[in-house]
Amino acid sequence: MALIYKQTVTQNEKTSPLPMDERLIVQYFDDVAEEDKQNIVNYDDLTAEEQATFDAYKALCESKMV
Amino acid sequence: MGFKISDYPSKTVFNDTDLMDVSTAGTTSESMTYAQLKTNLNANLSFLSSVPSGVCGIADASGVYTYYSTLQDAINAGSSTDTITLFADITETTNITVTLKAGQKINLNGHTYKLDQVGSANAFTINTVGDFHIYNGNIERVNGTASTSNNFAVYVNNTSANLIGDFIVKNPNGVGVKIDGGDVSGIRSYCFWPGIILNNTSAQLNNCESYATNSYGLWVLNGTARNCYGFSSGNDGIRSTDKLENCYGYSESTYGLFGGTESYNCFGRSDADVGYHAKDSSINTNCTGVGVGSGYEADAGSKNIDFKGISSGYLGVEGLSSGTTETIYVNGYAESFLNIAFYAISNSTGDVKVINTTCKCNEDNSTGHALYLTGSNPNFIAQNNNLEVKNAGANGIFSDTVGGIYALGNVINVTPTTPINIVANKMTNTPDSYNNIQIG
Repeated sequence: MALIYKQTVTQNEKTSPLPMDERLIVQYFDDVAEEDKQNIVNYDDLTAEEQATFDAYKALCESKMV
Repeated sequence: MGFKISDYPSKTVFNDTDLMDVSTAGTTSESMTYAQLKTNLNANLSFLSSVPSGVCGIADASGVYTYYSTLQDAINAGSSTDTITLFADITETTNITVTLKAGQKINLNGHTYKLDQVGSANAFTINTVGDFHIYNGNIERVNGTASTSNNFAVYVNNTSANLIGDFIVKNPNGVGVKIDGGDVSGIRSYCFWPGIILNNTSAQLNNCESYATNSYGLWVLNGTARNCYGFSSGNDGIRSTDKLENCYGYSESTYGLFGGTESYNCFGRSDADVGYHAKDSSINTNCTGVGVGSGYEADAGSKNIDFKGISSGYLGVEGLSSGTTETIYVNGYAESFLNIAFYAISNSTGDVKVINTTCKCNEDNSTGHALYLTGSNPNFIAQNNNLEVKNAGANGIFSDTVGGIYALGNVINVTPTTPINIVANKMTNTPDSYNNIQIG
């Protein structure tokens, strides 16, 4: 089975229109099921090391805001 | 002659021994002490302490309420024409479901009915034939486990049950409203999973707003959604396998609107992916997609009339594949700011027809074509399109396939050095004296 990475959507926490924690949505293609899938992972569920990676990535993204 | 009550407020303090004039006009003067007056008043007003009360009630024809301690008690006691009014927020913590009686109206009166329980109960269930009206408040289901089978805030479970709503639903742990029933209108639903699931072929969902964080905002499995809004942070704004009319789907992560068998006058917007998706063999009229991914995406055999696809980051319109039946694009608009305007694949025997469509590519790149035709089994008709590119090295029509393309009547802007870049145009016929032309 091959899971082919497509993209990741990272989202900040927010309260409107619905409360939502900071999280990432990993989107990929399952070539056995032949369908697009995604996995929603909350920031709080990451390990400390993973959170550090996420924080660094977020800093990279914010540095590109022009 | 003592003091009169009318002396108040100039005299703000009465001592128990003060004499009070309690005579009425035209009678002999009569007085009693202030202490006696208070005792007399308390005795006559003692009925006030026994005034009935309750969290909800039903008024009779004179407007006199009968009160009940639970909503279900009021429903059971009421008739089919009664209106049950809430007078306070109600929170139930046992695994119970309020079951409505046909014809009754529930006036939430600005209050919230909440089921706060880890079991599988729905907060409200409507499972009898009839019309129901719930309005002016909130229904919440909290701390249940997300499921498409239970734990709903409202469950309409009779195909002949119609709900006229004007209320707000919340379920931060599951689905807001599940409709296996009749027509439903007027609900705003904010949930973890779909705000509303419509699942009855003959049912209509009208004038609703449906929000979700982790699933489809609005999920139309069976039935028709009309004038509805679906929003999702974590999945499709609207996901349909049946009919949509005048609907708007917005997603922050996937498809803005994933259409079903028929969609009319719909809009899909996505901040991260495809704006609008046309399902295989579907009919799509006057539908628009705006996306960071493809603006408008169409599957094999779909009919796309008066369509628009605009993308800020990928293809304006993407024809995913073709099948044994024809795939049609007529009277459309395709625009991309960072890629090809219209990208179409033909890999089966059915024709792919792009007719009377404007294709505009804003990317200043030699690969920024207006109309790109490709596929393993090319059967294209590109007719009477308006094609515009930004880079001289790009083409109005580009194809990497051999054969299978009829290109006629297209107008290309002045920019491309090679307006039509295809191996061979299968058009050999010429117009007659009346400008009629047969494809071939």
